[in-house]
Amino acid sequence: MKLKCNAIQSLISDYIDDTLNKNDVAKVETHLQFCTKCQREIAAIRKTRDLVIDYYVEPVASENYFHQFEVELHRSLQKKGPTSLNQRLKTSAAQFLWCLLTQLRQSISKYNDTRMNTLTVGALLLLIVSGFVATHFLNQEISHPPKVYLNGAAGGQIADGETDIDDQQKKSLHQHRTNWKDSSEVSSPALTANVEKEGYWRLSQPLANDTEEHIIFIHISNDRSAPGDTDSEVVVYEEPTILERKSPLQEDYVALPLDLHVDPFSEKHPRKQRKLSGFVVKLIHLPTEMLTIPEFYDLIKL
Amino acid sequence: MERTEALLIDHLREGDETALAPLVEKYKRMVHRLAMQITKNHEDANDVMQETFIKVYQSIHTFRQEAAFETWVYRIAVNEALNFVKRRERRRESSLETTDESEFNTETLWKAKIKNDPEIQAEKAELRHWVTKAVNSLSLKHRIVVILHELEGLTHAEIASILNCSEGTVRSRLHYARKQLRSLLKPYVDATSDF
Repeated sequence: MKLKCNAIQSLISDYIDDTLNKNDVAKVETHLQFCTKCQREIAAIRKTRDLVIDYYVEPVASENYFHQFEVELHRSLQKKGPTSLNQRLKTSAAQFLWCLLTQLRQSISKYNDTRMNTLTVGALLLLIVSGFVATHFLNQEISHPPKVYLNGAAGGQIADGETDIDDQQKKSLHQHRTNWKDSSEVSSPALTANVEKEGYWRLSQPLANDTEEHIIFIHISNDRSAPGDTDSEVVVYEEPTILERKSPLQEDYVALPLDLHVDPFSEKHPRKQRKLSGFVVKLIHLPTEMLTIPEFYDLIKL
Repeated sequence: MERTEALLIDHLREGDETALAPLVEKYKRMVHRLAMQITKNHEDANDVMQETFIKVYQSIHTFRQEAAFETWVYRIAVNEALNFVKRRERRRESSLETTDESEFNTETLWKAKIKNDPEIQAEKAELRHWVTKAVNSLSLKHRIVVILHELEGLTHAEIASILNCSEGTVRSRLHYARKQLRSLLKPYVDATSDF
């Protein structure tokens, strides 16, 4: 059956794009054999399409524009953080459980030897837990926004406002890292002077393939008088049975706790790899970009 | 070790924020191009880009891999750009602005591009100018379809998915837009008879 020109109109775009079915293509082509008006119409629209494809000038932007955009995006993400329900729940649940277990453990050990009756202990625990829950959720929004690192943006820099460490500690830690990188001499880490806090370096990539998915502890003794680093060691543990030593904010990451006394854990857990010497050299040659912003946690709070 | 896109998406979904940077690197030009074509100026395009990637980051758990990731990013970018333009128009109406600043910016932007491009200095410069101007003069809903189909190379089905409308609507808008363009570019279309 021959189609009229009006019927052809609705098929022209698809005919030009080759998205018509065979049946409709046959109808259009049959019509075109006898209709020069529609032939001209199709030719003109095809020409128009080609002009747009060939001559439209697409907007472009400089590399500087994109660089500025990435800096702003990084800043925005740091402010906003993940709002997806599962991410927030995951972080909150991990933090909550971590703190709850720690509080309970401390409370039990504290009152274990006393003669307090069960009711008193229960009431005390309830008070601790409810107080903790209230402060935890208040503090989470204000003090610990989720952190976001874009490639190269962290770059081993110590960013302002990222941690609860004070400026003096930041400077000394940064100086400490700089010393390690610039000199083969081993200096005493200023961080180790603070026995109440632990610094965690987060690795942006594993040290080596065989350490992937493992926790790496670097044990640094306070006694740095002998630079032979025989008092230090790198210990790589099987992933990750040592959950009680992991930061709740870092459950998916390999971490390098500085000044962590690993003896209790080295007795309990099998070591995958152990090196009694040379780790300082390894750390000195660690690319800066592998260590992102350090995070500090108060052991008492945790 | 370079991660594949699928792996980056998985990691981002699991909360690994470092997976976002390579995805931004891969899609930033595409999102910028699209945002520019819809909003018509760099500042607004920058805002759209920001919102697009923040949404990608925050909503990655809603991406179900039924469509390509690229299409999903397109959808977010187009929606963000459309919302941006709507908000801008509302502001303009409420402040009784009469001048179309974005039109002016676009004009100067594309002219600057033409001026700076030595290739366009040649005889086709005028043609490029008028074709670009013709596309930019289309209404928003028709311009988007032309951009996504003719310039980004998406299929009718993909565009329908991005714009949340039927394929028939996409076809109809594309057909109307082509006829509009044909009318706007009539001197150039009629000038050649190579088909």
